[in-house]
Amino acid sequence: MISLRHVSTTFADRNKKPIAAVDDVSLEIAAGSIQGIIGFSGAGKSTLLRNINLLERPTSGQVWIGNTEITELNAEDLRQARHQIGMIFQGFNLVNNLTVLQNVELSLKFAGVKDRQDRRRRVAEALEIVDITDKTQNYPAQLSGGQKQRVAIARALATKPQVLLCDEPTSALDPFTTASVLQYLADINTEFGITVVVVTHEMEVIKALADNIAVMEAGSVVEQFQASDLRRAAFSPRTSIGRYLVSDGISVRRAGQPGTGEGFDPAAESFHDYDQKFEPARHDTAEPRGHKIFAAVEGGLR
Amino acid sequence: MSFEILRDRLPEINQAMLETFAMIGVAIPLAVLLGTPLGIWLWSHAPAGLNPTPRSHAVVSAVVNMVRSFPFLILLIAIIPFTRLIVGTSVGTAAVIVPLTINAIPYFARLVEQNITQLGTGAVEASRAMGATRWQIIGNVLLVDARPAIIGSITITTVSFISYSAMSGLVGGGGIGDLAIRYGYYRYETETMVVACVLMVILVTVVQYGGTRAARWTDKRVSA
Repeated sequence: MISLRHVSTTFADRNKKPIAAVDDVSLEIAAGSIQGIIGFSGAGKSTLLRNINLLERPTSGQVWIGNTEITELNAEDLRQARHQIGMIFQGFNLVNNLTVLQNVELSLKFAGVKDRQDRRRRVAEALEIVDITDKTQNYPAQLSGGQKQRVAIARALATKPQVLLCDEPTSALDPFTTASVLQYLADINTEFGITVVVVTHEMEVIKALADNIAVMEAGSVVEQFQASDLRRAAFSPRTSIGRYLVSDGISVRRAGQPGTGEGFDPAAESFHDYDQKFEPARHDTAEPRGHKIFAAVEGGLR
Repeated sequence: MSFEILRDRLPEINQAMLETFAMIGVAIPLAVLLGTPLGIWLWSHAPAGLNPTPRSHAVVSAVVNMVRSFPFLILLIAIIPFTRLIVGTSVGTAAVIVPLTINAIPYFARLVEQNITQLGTGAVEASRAMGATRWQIIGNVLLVDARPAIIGSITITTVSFISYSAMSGLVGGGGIGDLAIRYGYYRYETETMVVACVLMVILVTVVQYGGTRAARWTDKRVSA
């Protein structure tokens, strides 16, 4: 369904030195599956996700969705293609001065749905999927974080896309809200067969949601496995993240107490110095990225 | 304090208020009408903007800075030939409206540019991901979320230009500030000076109060 072929994305750092945020990544994402991409801050996973809908145009390589080579499209065709690629963000990115209804309606307006009645009907449908039916006239500031993300999901689904890109969708949410949002994403995947790509640094999220998992480090996909592999006794992942995923979670050594011998031992992984190990390729997720994001885009929306 | 003088000055005071209203009432709407698109253009075409055109942006930005760096008094005189071309005269209220507007357009444009920059890029990025055109982003997202800030900028511009309009006396433009100078200062009519100042304070207060209310009314970022 989604095919990334030798995708690289290079940015210039403050000293104009080129930094490869994404370095020759090839990845096949099956139609109807949930693909997880996990990595530490600066691993390039967010940039890779943005490469799929060309919010960030790759410096080299090809991006295919179905039979369309996205990297080949002109600005207008890319715009049309994006109507079929929904996206949600860590910071929700709703328009604060529009109501819930108006926010969801935006994606339909942008997709060229002219008839207002038609738009309103489809907004209602989309909001029903995420169980937000009584807050349509509220503004984002009047919603909880989880509700905001559900509105963002409805906004992304309203145009009935084939693909849903999720950039750290639950990183701003508490564990219970996270669980609820993940359930919606899983249900949407099952019910509509939408291919879901989730980028996150949250181990729980990737474990709970993904069918297939790609581990990113320093711009490269360093390991790939299926979620079902995690339950196989013989499975021994090569990366720290892989080992974390098969473990029982974090275990910290306390002086004078015997360790349980189980769980994930950060000391054994020298996690404490991973900052030195990987030079962060770039800002990672919803931290404000200034206007830089527009600099390298699809020749503008000219 | 002598109230006879004030009674005698009443026609002049009325006239001056009307002139101030005329100057602000024409210059500010024109500045909003032309400065808003200019501000959006400056934001959008900046080197790291939505639609970067670094060269033309540098030129327009330099022109904006140039006009902005003229002290109003100098601009008033410097563009007299242009003023005559537009309104057919270089004296009177109409002749002041031209330099006021010329000065207010880039002033307001910079404020709008700032208002949009401060929105952050989240909603714009989401809109791009939804396949919005540039105009759709401007109309449906930027202007909607920046509306309270832009109303604030209209308020600031109005207050600033009420103050600038006091210099209109140089070309016989009139207005309440000019009245204060001509009668209050040159003719030692302290009473007229006080009344003119009180009227200006009231005018600015009303503008500021109305602007703040309007901005708050359109701002949905905090739950009511």
